[in-house]
Amino acid sequence: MALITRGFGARGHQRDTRLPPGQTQVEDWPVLTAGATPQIDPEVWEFTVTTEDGNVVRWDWDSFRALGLEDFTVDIHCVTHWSRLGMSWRGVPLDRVFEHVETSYDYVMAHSYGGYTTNVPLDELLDGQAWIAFEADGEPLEAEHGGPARLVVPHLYFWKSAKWVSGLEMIPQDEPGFWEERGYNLHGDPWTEERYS
Amino acid sequence: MIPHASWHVATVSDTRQETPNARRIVLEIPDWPGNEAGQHLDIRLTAEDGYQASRSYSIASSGDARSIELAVDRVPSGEVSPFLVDDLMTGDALEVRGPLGGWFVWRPGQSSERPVQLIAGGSGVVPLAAMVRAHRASADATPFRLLYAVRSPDDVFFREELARESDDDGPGAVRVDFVFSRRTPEGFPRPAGRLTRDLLGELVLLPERNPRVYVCGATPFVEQVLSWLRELGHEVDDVRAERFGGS
Amino acid sequence: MQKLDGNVLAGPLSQVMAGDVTSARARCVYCGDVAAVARAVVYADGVRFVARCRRCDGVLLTVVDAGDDMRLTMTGVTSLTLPV
Repeated sequence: MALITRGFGARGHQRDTRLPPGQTQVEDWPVLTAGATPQIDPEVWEFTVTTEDGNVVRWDWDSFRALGLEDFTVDIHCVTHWSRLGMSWRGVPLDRVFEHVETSYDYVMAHSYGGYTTNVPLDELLDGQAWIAFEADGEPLEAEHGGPARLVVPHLYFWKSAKWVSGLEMIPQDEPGFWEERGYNLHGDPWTEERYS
Repeated sequence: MIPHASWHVATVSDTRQETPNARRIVLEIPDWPGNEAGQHLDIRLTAEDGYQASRSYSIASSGDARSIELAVDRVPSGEVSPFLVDDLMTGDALEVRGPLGGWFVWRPGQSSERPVQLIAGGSGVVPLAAMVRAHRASADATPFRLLYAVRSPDDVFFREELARESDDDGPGAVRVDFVFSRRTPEGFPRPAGRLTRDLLGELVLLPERNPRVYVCGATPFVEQVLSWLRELGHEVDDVRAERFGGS
Repeated sequence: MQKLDGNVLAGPLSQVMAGDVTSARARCVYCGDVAAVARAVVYADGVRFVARCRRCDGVLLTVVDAGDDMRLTMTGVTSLTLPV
């Protein structure tokens, strides 16, 4: 049991019931990254979904955003113990994306510019559970926070919300992505504290 | 043989303001095995709800003493440094892990054919000050130079000690050169301004002297200095660097 | 989040290595570069550390502080030479 440090308060002092176990509420937005921040020009940005028959559905910046942007307000939970409640975003729901995709595979590997990967079951990306987000807190998403576009899957720990997302790959079975191969949980549910593998 | 690092409970025995934004902290650690000049320790803070934050800090002292000294700069948006600079009190207990790091270290008694060039950016001076102190304490004859880039005279760490080194004409004394980016002391020979490649070239030992170079500071400072050293003809693979974050 | 260097790995890896890991020379599996671990580019937030090869940016190793244990994944290092 670690020594409690006199006078050291966790950031934020509220204990909100909307916090999953082990989380502390913050008002700011810490930047956590595994590498250099990619700088991606919307002019060259693409989003692809690759399915089992080798089919690639591809959108550019304008055609992807034309699928329909919506505002959404969600709580986000980082495995490093901070949470932000009631954060406002704007993005394309993955339900809109999958209207254009035919697949019998049940799992997804999200890919990012820069090489990051993370896995999510398909049924956890649909039914209003996930978006490709372009704005946060009313502003275009900054590069250090994953802009110009990132995946947002708020019901899972935030490492699953891949920054600089470039596309989704349908896979037949659940497979570990970058952090899942390195000690983090394959699923990542904050409410049952699925942090580690 | 470097002593193995482990967790210790340290008690704050003294604190004093070092600069308007920084504090010197003295820790008593009964089971501290001693540390070399340049080594660091990790401080881990635990809140009542179990939340933990941990950061690395260079040790300003070296040797066998059970009492060690830190000098911590407050990074405004940081998680740990504001607590250490503003809230920590004498008598408080802290968890520390160390001593750590065997690469960014200066040991007395190494070849004095290689003079030593220390380059500090802001609070990067802390491990280099440990080296200066170790050099003096061991009466090592190796020529030592310190280039210290800092915003203003108010931001200088270890001011008195460095002034004593500058006033000392003896062979073992460290030559200290300051570069003030924002404001200089009265009568300072150079106007305020950021370090440049040319100024670096003027103030550091030439590559032909084959210096052992140590650079410490924030990541952008270190990267810039290494890049300039390469352009000035130094063998940068041989330079030892330690990058600080802000927190 | 901080962009640092391999010096900061000394603490987290002190439980894994008996000696000082920062002086150990690591060979990058992607580009073959051999350098002291202290010289790696390290992205750190206090509980997670990602060390990248300074030459090719390949991920050399990651350390995850999982509370009860420390997870070290060294997929980018083919060999480690430690001074004794």
